[in-house]
Amino acid sequence: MSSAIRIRDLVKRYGATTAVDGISLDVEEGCLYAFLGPNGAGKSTTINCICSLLSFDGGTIEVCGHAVGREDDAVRHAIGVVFQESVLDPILTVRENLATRAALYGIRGRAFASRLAEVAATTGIEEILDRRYGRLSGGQRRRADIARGLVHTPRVLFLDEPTTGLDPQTRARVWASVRTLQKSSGTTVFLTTHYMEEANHADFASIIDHGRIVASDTPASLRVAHSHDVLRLMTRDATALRTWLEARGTAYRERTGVFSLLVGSSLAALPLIREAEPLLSGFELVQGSMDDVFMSLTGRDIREDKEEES
Amino acid sequence: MKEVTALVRRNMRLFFRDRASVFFSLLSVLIIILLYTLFLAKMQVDGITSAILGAGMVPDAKAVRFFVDSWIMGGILATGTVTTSLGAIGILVDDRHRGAARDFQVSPVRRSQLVAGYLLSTFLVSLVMSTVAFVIAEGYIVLSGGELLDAASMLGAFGVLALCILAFSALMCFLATFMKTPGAFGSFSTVVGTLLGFFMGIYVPIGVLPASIQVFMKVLPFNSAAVLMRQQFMARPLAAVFAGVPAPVSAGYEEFYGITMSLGGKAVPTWAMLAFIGAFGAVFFLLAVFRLNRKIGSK
Repeated sequence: MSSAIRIRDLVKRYGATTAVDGISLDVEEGCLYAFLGPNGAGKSTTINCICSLLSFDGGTIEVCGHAVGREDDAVRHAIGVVFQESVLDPILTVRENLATRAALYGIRGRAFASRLAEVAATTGIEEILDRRYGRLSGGQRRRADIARGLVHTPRVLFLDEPTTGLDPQTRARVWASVRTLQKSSGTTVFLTTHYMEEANHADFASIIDHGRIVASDTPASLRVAHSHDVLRLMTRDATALRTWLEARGTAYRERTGVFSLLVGSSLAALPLIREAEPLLSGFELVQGSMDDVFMSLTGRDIREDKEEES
Repeated sequence: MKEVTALVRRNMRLFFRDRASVFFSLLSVLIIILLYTLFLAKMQVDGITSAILGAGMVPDAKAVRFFVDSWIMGGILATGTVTTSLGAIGILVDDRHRGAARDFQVSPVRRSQLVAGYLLSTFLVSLVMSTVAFVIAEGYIVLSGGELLDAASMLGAFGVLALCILAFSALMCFLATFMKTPGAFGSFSTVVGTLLGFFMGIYVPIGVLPASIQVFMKVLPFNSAAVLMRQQFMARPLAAVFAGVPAPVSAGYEEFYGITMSLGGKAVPTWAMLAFIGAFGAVFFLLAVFRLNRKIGSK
């Protein structure tokens, strides 16, 4: 598979601060790639560099084989960008907005009409085409933004924090339409988010902190490598369970009668549950989340844990 | 070029669909008209009347009114070329503030096309709004007993309008690139609107002001614009009011009211004023293109 985006040693400085500190990554064509990190980690800076909005101090970026900085025109034809903030014109209708933007790519008249029908269907905005953008709800606006990003059939679509500030239901709907368009048209999608759990929707995720990539893998592998499942045991006889666990040499934490144990994986919990079965009144297995992955890779929590262990 | 057309259409739509922006771009024109009818007109009428009495003639009240109305309306139309350009270029400030400029930048449209889009739409908006102001001005003159401009003067007036709009919209585009927020731009517009009345000798005739201030006004193109515009408006009222008044006396009043201009004791010819405004516009056009190029595409 060829790379839709190929970044090598990207560096971007703002005066004395280094916002992006040597990032390298490859995004496969047709995949949904999530770029995760807290606010200020360098996500938006990276996206702005890729989209030819920001010049950078070092490294190379290629989008669909075109070098950013030298072949910006080709890059701009290949990309669609959905910005974090609303950038369409509030007093124009959605249709007028899309017509103006499409014209910048040379799409007019009949070509525009047929393309408009397609993107409107993909993003579900047929009903609101003739309403003024400024009068739409947050979710409708977001979908119109995505339609704008798609209006010229880009090969790579960038979404900068597409779900920030939306309610959970709308977030889910935005995700659904992103997934649909990626699956149906084969568009490569590159998005940033600071909602860690959203990375589970992605094919591949990179976690960025302080301008560096700290981990890069499929969400499932990241969870396996950097988070633990937690097994919670409930019992009627706390003393017996405590004695049993201590005899077995298993570390646990007890809180309000519930014993929490870290287990490497879901399967590793099975023998334990089976052995302890006579003592149990119930159990619960909580899977490691992307939040845990992020914490364990970047947060202070992991370091505190280590100090406790040593 | 079709990209530019699309951008111009978009910019003009943004301006004309926002009723407030349309209204406010004409507001300074309307405020001056209001000030004039309430306070300033009587002062000028009295001034002219006593001048004619002083020359030993009997003033014709209707002609005096026609004179004063034409004087003020010529000046107002000149200010309008600046204030309506300013209203139109607000879209640029908005685009940069809201992030629409970034949206344009990730598209393959060339910066020169964006720049052309802003300059052209500003020019066209200003031309439309100035035409509206022209109709209001003529309506005012005729309703208060004056005469409509003859065809030649009307053509001349539109020529001056077009030149001034070209020059001043270039200047305003240049200045707008320094404004980061719509708030700052709004304050700037207010200041411009206020100062302009003085720079163009609208509130009071230039002859009333101290000599040093007069020189300052004359070296700026704004006063020349007002003088050129008044020349188109004042031919007939001048003849009517100063009929029979000795030429040196009437010439003195022409200069006093900013219908002619002299610098260092020498009369400045019309072509020189036109050339001055043209050159001024050309310089700021280049500066505006330079600044817009940098600001729209600031990496």
